[in-house]
Amino acid sequence: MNDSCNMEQKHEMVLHFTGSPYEYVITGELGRGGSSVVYDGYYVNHTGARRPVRIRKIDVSSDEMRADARRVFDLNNELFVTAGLTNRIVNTYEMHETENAVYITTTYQEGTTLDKMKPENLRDVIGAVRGLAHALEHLHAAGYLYLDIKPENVLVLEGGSDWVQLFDFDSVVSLRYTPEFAAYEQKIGDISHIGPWTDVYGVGAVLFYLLFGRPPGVLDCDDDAAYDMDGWLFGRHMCQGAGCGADATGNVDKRMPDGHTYRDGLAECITDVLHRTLARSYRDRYQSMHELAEVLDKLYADADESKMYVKSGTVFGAENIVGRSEELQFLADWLADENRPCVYVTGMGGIGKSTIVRRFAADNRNHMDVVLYLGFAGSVVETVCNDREFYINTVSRHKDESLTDYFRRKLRRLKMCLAGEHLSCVAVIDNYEPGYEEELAELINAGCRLVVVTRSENVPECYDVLRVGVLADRKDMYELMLRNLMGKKCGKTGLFENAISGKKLDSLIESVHGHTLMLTLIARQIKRGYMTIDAANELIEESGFAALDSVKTGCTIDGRLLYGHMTEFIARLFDVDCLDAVCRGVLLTLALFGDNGIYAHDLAGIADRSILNVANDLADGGWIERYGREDDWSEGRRSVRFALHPVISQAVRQMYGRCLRKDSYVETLQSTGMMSTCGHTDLGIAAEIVRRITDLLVQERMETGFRRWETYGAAVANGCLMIDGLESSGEYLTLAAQIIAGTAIENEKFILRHGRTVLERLCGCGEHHKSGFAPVSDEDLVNIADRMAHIYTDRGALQVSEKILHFLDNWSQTKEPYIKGFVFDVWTDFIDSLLGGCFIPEDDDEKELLERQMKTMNLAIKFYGQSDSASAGCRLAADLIAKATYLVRSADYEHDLARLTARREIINILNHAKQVMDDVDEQIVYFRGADQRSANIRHTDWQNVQLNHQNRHAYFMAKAWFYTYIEPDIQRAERSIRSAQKIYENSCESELDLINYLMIPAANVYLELDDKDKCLKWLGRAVKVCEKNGDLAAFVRKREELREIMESEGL
Amino acid sequence: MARYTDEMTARCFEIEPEDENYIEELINQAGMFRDFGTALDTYMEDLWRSRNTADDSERKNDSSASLSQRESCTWNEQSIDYKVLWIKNRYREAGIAVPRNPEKWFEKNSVIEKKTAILFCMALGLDLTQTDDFLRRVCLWGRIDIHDMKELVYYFALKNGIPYSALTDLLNDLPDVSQDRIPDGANVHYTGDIRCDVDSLESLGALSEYIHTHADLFAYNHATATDNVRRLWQRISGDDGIAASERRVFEVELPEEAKSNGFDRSLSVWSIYLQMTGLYGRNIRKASCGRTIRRILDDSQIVHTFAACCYPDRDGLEKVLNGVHISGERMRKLLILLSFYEYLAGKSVSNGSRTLSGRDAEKCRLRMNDFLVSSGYSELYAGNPYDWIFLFALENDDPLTVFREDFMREVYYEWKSGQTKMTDIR
Repeated sequence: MNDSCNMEQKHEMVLHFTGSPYEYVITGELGRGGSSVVYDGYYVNHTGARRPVRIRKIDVSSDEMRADARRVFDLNNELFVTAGLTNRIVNTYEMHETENAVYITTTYQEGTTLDKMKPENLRDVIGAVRGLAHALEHLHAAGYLYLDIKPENVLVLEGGSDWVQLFDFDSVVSLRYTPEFAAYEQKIGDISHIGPWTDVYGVGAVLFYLLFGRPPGVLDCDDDAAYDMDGWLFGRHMCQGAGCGADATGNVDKRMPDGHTYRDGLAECITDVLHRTLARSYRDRYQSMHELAEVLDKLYADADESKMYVKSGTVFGAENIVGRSEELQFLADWLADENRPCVYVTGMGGIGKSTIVRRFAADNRNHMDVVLYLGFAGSVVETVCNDREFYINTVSRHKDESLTDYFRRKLRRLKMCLAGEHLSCVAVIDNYEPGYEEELAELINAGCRLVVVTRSENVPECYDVLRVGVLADRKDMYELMLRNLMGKKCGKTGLFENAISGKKLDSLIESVHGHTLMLTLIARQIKRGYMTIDAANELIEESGFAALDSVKTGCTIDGRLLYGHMTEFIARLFDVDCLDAVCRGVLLTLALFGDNGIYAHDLAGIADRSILNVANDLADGGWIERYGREDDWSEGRRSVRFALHPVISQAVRQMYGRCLRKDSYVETLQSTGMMSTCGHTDLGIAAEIVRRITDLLVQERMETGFRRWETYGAAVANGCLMIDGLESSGEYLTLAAQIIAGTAIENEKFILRHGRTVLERLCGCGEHHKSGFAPVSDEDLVNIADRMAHIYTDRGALQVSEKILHFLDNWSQTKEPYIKGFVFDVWTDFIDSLLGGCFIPEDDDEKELLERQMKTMNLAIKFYGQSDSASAGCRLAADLIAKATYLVRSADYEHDLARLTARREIINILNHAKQVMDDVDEQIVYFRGADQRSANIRHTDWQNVQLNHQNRHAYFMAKAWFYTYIEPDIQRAERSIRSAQKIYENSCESELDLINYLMIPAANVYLELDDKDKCLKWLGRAVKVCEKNGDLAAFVRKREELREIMESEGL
Repeated sequence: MARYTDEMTARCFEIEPEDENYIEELINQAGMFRDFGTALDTYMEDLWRSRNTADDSERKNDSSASLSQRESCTWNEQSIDYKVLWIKNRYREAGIAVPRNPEKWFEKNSVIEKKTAILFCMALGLDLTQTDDFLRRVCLWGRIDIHDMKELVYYFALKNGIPYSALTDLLNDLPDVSQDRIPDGANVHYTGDIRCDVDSLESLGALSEYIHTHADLFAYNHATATDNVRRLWQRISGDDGIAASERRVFEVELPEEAKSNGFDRSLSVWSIYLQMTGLYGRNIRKASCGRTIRRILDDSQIVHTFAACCYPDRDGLEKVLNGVHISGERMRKLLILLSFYEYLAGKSVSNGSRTLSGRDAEKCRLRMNDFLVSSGYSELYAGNPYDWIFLFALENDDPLTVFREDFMREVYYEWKSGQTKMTDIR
């Protein structure tokens, strides 16, 4: 403002005018303009009363100016009696002229001109401007434009900020204006475009001045001008003294003292008013003062802080949301139907529920009068009572008021507010936990429509449900990952052009079951770790998706931007610490079972039946996934299955990684050889589960031959490897050994992975059974090594196989004869693999190998003979048969004598073998009954049963060879083959073994007997078995081997 | 006068980039602007006509016998000598020292100093409004600058009808004030404040006292214009400024001085200036020496001499940003350039397209005028060769490109071809 127009000091000056009965005493100067001054004064009337007046002195230096002053006076009088203006303009009494001046006396009103006004709140500001607009509205109706609106010309009367008076009508008469408050057309001198909109600008300029303390500048008149609403001036006047946030320099906090702002949209409305009044082009302004006055009336009502309102929360919609169009449409449809009071949005953590709801809220903001976005605070009561997020201006909690009482009172007020103004209100409660449905109903009764975002599946039936799962379209998953892999540079169109093929991402997607947040994190990890997709895939295949967690990255969880490792985010998202020990134990148990989980019935079988209740509760809470239909009875049991999502599995495993430090674990292992004495309750549960599964697996194997528990056991064994504390436990080692022993040889990956672990754990820790307890028996250990060597040999990794065998050699030095014999058996098998089934050496190396093989075989026989166990007997029989077979197939049959000599030896050996087999049968105790599956059969007995079966098969195959080479008799040979086939097909569990030990040998027999048709028939059967299992590497190799055999034999 | 204005305004619409002889038309246009002498003649023609319709008694009292003989002729029909004599007589009557060589006013490409023009108006007995109008339309100057001591005195005299003869003592007694930087915002005294102070004064004595008491206020001027230039520059420059955004959105070639990663950091004032004016790119080699484009504007056919005079440049911009005084004409032209670029570049960035739509052109023009008038300058005038460039550009769909390519780059190529020819001659 014009600081140079200083007020004169108060002095008493007396004016006496010719023709006037009174003397006017000047007491002070009110204001000063270009050519006039306004004084405060008084006169004493005929009763002696002092009457205050205002006296305006206008300097006139020409007749024209004098005439203008007269016109102003006359106009003022005319307007004063115009309807609507009487109390809105100053009443003029008299006009007196002197030589160089004109004096006009007017009424004195207590008040302040707007340039000196100190409004206390926004309502005062709008009230004054509103009053001004109404006054001008009447002036316009009378046919006049004011054209010099400025704060100095507007008097705000005492007692009310919205009653104003206009004075100084010079501009009405002589087209003058004040540049700082003049509209564009005035400044330019474009008279032809001056109209009511010109005064509209003036009102806007006054509003701007009152808000920001200065006249509007050029940039403030842009149609997209942004105004700093935090800079509202009046708050500074109000906030003085302690407690208002003023610092040492006297600067105050820009917010109002109570820290709150005005109702929704008020700032936007004021911005709109400023745009529509200060617009540079007159066409863009309100075209009439009436139109502006109406807007200001509404604004005045909205600015009433004593009037109750509910403040909406700020909702930021996610910008980069991918897909989810169906979900968003569902919510939009729900919103459109007012008869639907509540919708639950459910799904596991990190799947995108909150993102969808935020997007929905942002997109539909204009359809909702009030939006509340509330974070669940532990209960609905606490959530509603949180005034920071849920603010009603006239409601706050009293000092002695309980939360419940405040909750109820607040809802009553909410209801009043919403009903009173017919407002629609949508409240989002994010991260809701079930159990507060009554309070939710109260919130609905107060007039809110609710969107409840929760992980729980417990949804009242009367409400709508939106179940959020993974992105429906695989292409959306690709896009989500690619956006995070390639950053913002990846445009929406042509996403796959010159980019990574979506197919390559499938493995990554499958590893986390398409979990939305995990897809984002994995992509970011890959990007920040500078990996290729292929490398990432390999890592995940090897060690799970947590293997990607080498670098830190950022992500948003529950609206908060976090930076750290992926596994930390997972732990944060799935905070298992909030669960009790039993729940954690159940989670850990399920974590053991991998992605496929376990059937509910089986789960009950391995633990207390009450575990099902816990599992169900956890499923309702979104921790566990429940598959299958409860009414589906297959094989006499329900097909409901519990499983952990791989992401939750990771969180659970991480939890147990924190529970037990490795140092203490090793110490425990060394001292006791057991894991379960670690003293950790939930880990103890898991260990117990592992033990039970082992027992069930063994029992099932012995009793039924089914493999259900073996399948579980394999999954559990895999799970144990990912949990610190379990991976080295005795329980795991036992389980792993049992599965390796019984699983089909083609299950190479499992055998090698766990076999390595078992060998490393047992052999790395030295003696592990000081207390007499051995998680893995010597026999099992040799068995594991045998199978591993077998696989490595088959793969051509002979050096690895030899390494294992040499280890066995050293290790078995102090072992019992049976074990020693077993080790020599393993050597025999190895050498046999090196020979490739050759019995007639073609060179010195093969000759040496054959000799070596015979040597190991004899040693095995020797040591087995020193043991009287059934197991030894089985193996003895097996080796005898193998020796017999060797003799049959390696003998020089050119000479009858040699054949006769060999014949005798072979028969003796085979008879010895048969005797041994019969003895073994007698040693094993059976209890067979149609309805009884007894656990009385010991596990080892069961194994021996299996071995003896195999021996009998081998025995008959040996006989077949005998009748091929030694006493050629095709019929007997065929009979022997049929006998072998009968035994093997009934007992063999491995189709690869069936090929190796029946089909190929049978084909060989027929080949030797010159029956190519039957030979081919057997080979063809073998090929078919290989093709049936074409996805397994072992069968692929075997198929190749068969092809080579057929080619070499010209078949 | 109005006819000339209308003609120049119409030319903005008549010339179109699609025309075959587009550049020739622009060159022709530069030659169509009238010089001072022609403008003076047109102005005087109107004034002469209005004066000659006055009372006969006034004409009879005219002491110039030769004048009365020619009263029936129009101003334009009079000879140069007559005109000069008439003008001199007016000066003498007003008690104002006669200017040297007023006959030169009627020569081609003549110019007149502002002070001389103001005194001419006083000699003619024009009032304040008429004087401002004369300055704007005839001389192409801005209004009387109240923030200048002498012009303040003239303003007071014109407003209050005080003859020049009464001013000489005051004019001779004005305090000496050396130019200084514009003080900080809170301490700035704007022209409007001075006007408000002075308008309430009643005598020359009071004016004299005011001037002497507030002499320090006259150490600077153009405070509002400086504010506006700074605000506009703030929006244009910086990493997130309009210039940077334009570079990003439209992949504008780097101004030649920028480093290869110039998009990632703020460029210099000079580089941004070159970007605004379109003088960048591979085909534009260094258009300047000493970071000024003055030499390419000299003798340009497409840019009128008056437009080239005080053409906005880096030096002027930096001075304004630092609060150093520059002439009113220079400031005005700078304000036009900045407001033109800031609005149009900002619009194109937000729209993603350089093509204007709706009322954008009208809004741009109004806004530019608002900046000018608020800063105390006259609004855009089609008769002003510099203003005409921008008014013409705004009549096209892509005004910024028209300005950059059809004027600035043409000026460059014009200069370049001239250089080449010179080289050939050697």
